[in-house]
Amino acid sequence: MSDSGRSGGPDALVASLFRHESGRLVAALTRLFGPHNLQLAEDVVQEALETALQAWKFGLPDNPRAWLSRVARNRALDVIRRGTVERRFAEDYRDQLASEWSRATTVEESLAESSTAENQLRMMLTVCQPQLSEETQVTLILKFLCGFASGEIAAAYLTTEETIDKRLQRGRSVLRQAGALSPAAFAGSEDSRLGAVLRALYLLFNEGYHGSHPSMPTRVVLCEEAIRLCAFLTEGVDSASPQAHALMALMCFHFSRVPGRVDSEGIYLPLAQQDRAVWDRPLMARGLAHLNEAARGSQLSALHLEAGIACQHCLAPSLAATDWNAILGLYDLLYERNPSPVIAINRALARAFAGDPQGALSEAVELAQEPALARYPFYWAARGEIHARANQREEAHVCYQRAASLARNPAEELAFRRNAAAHEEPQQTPS
Amino acid sequence: MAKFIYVFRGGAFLEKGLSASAMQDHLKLWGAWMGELAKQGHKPAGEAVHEGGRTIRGKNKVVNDGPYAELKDLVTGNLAIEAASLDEAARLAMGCPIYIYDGSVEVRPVAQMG
Repeated sequence: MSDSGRSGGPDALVASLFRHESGRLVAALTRLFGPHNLQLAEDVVQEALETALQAWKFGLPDNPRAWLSRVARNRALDVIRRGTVERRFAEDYRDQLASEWSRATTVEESLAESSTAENQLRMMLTVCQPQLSEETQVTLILKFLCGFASGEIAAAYLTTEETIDKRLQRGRSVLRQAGALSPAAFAGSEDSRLGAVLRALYLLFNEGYHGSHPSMPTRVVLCEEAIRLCAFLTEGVDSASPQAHALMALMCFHFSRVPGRVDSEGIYLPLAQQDRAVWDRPLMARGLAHLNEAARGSQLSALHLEAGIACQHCLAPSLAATDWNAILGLYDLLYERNPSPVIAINRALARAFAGDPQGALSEAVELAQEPALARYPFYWAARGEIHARANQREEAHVCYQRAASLARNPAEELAFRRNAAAHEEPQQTPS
Repeated sequence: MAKFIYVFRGGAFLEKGLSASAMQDHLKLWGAWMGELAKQGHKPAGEAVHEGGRTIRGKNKVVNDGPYAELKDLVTGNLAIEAASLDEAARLAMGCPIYIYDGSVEVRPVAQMG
């Protein structure tokens, strides 16, 4: 408690409160103002946050979110009152906002906590317009739903602020054509709008999890945002499709293994050396619950298969005790659906672990013909592992070195070099 | 212990277009500074003020909208603290995060009544 009698210092805030509140309020106001007035919604939210920055210096209000909602409500009502004549608000709210009678309750309803999930979902559907590239969709999500500034997005994606601003500009111009936020009612789980959102969240997660940032092997915040936003889908009535649950399961399984993925210097550890005791068990349990939900219905999507593979890794008490045959079976199904060389090399690796290193080796060697894999460091690392499993230490060493030479960042390179070194010495005969 | 008033001018509040994260990070620094003052027994008690307001001045009580100051001189809050001396109060004010955004702190001794 601070002496001002309010409830604790700003340390008591959730670290992402401002960002998340920005996302919550921008969606709530864009629902009313319409996507063509996105900038107006952003301005109102920015002012509300600036007001909080000033007012909360000496202590926090009891309920910071409600406080922000109130400030945003008052500003929004001002804006609407002044603009009813010359501005056109969202198609589905024009009448309610024009009438003095219903204006305040309409604004309050949209800003209420109980509307948050629907607003966020509608905003995600709206920014994932089919005419926008996937990277632009992800950029818009980071900006409008996660509350990141252009510079922050640029830093996360190792690109320039200018590139991000261009994407945002393109996004804004497409959004200006939409008269209202996309509705949250779906034409069944095959609704392509839902698929677009799932794909964007999948990309966002992967950028955090498998990204190529030089100094940060895992950008935890990107993974966390993807999981947080996916929860709006899986907790929705219409949006909780089996695929949404499968994506959520996949992300929970992957993310639960982040602790232990690198050593104290941030270098990737081979799966065999990872300490499974530090994996996040509650998150795995959450993943399992979503995998169960994903199994309802008759769909078996690529997401289901990927989640199934990640699940096998999570459940295994050790590398040796992993059910490699189950993983191999899932890779077979995945490859049937999407015969890509990347899936093929992963399948070969699973085959090697499942006890058939010779079969795996002939597959892996054949894949060297694939142009997509020639400069792909993980192909060479996987092939190194397969050679090692087939007791070809010298070849393993050469492949790991090749992987190191193609690594995208120093942490990756060092991890591959360690593997190369581990296979350098001729195998000692046990005495 | 003597009483002092910090008068804050300028600072992050007047910086437009800060990102949500930057705002929260800055607020965290204020919290840390305030927390430290409280922990050391300086009993900080402050109030922030918003932009705008009115100024009344002169024999004729002329009323003007808003303060007159230039933006960087705009009063953005004040804080009462207890310290052993002006030197100590000024030293404590060094820890304020307001300087990051070009603000200032004026340290004034409170006139003692007794």
